[in-house]
Amino acid sequence: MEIEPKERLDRRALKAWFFSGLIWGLLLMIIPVLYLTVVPLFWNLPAFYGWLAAGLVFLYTLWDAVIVPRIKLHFWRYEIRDEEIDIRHGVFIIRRTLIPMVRVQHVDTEHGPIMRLFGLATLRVSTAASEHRIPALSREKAAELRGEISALARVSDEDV
Amino acid sequence: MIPLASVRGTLIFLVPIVFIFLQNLDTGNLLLYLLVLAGSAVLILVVNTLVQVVIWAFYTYRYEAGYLHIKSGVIFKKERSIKRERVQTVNIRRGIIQRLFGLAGLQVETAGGGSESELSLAAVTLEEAYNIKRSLEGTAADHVSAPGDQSSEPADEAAGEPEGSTREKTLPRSGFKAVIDTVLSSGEEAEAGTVYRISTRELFIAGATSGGFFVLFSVIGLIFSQALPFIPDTFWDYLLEQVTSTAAGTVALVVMVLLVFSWFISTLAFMVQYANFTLQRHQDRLLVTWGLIEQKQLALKLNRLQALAFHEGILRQPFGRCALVAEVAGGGSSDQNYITLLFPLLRTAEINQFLGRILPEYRMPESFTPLPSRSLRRYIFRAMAPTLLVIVPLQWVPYGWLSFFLLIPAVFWGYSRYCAGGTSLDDRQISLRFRFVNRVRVLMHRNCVQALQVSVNPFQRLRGLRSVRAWVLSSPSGKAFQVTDVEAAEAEHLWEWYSRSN
Repeated sequence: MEIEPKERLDRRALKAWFFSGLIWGLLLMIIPVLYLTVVPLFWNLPAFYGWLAAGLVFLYTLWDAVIVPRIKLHFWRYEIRDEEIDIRHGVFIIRRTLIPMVRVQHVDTEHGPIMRLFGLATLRVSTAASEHRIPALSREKAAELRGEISALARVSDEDV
Repeated sequence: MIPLASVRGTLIFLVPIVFIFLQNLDTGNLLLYLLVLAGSAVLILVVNTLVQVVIWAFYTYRYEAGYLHIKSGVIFKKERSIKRERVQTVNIRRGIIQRLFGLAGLQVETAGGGSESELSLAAVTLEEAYNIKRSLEGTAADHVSAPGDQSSEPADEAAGEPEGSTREKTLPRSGFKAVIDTVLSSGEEAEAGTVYRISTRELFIAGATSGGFFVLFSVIGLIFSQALPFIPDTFWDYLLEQVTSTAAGTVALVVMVLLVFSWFISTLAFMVQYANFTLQRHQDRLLVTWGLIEQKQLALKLNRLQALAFHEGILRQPFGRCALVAEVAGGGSSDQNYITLLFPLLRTAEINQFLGRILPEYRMPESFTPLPSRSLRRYIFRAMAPTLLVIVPLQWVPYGWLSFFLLIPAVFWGYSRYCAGGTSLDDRQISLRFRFVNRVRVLMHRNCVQALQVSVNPFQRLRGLRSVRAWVLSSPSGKAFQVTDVEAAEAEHLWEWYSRSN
């Protein structure tokens, strides 16, 4: 357990997470904006709550799009060894996960529109009982790891 | 399959619309309503068809060199590769509509049995389905699914029989019987040690302590409370006169009667359901039979057994009894509602003797490494925090301060959870002990643990504590067992034991 995993995520993850956090923030912002613009036309409600909500959404977006990605990226480590995959991640609770190669059922890569924009992809490793993700790898790296893991998993002959 | 899927999708969408339609049914405007209904149906059908076409167009597959690759997704692209070694069964299913168009549905089941680990192609040509099946099942299954074999027996498929050899499915009822017969005929005396049958007395205790009456009581209580307004007042007056002079007494009496009644019924139901419960070990196979009205049997090959869990219910622990539950790897048992109860009631003191006879592969550790005393605070805090959330708002209610007494059971609960926590290792088995309500001891072989996780939050780090979580394969999807706040050194010990690199 002293040997911490070495590999880090792609730096572009910061941009992608910022971007998706920003989109969420903007979507959430619609609520206070509507409150401040549309509601006064019909009802007479104090504007204070609208500004308060806008402030909260702003703070949340700052946290979600700027701070959390940095913490996440700072703690995220993984390592693919011949016999196992070692993952460390977390923001508040730091989790170390060990997945033996012989237990790996399949490996997927997936990427949504934002990830694609930044040339990133998520690697998803499934055992028969659990699912583990390595988010925000460069797409080439993800494909390479997918090949590597499925080859390593194939070599192992211990059965489930 | 496109038209089929879109029709099905349309029907699902139409249900709420029809409901709204029925709610607002007004005979005067019936024609208008019908027009709106038909119009929305057509619109949804068109949209659905378009969606299905697009999904279909983006769904591609490829098989080569022992792999099946699938690419799908319109917005979120998804690629999946499944290798031949992990494929448990390939089922070819043909419904009426598929047969009409010369198509076949293909289902690939991997060991997980969860929804994600199953993969299906809704419609490929029959020939292609057999090609994929052959390529995935490989040489071992060649003699079973030779193409000539298949085409010469079209009647078989016409019956809608799934192809392939799921373990359960190739074992017909008569097969189970035969196994029992050989066990019995090979000398009941010699095999007596490997057969466990529950006695009526134990069965009664099991039913009485199953806790099923809580569920039944709440159901009955619900029905009763709904029926309350319909009970005539004279009945209540009569009850009041006869039994007691206070209304509170009546309520208490009714509750008592209902409790006893539901306890009686649930005990009886349990005893009927699990009557004649028998567990046998026969070479590499466990055979479980139970039931009075409907005789049920379950044959379990040992390699499907992933973990053993001993559940000590709060009602059973005082009697020194526990139930034995098995975590079993999938294999298409979702529609058979398999309970994986291996034995409904065991004496805790006899667990080792029981394991020695039936499952010598597992061993109940003599002692578990307990949690360090500094984690007691965290356990008690965790139990109290939600209780405080209830208590604080209650302070604005008259007599709300009485709710502070809730803290006593909360502290007790936290303390007993702390006491239950423990871990144990030997060279091939990890054992976890923990409690939520029931105290559970789980025994897992190292090669059945799918993944291991050690987590730490800042407070735990400060005190040198960790949480350990182990995943095992269990139908229908995986299961995780966790012990919270173990000694950091112990967590590290478990980690090193599990790691294959050093």
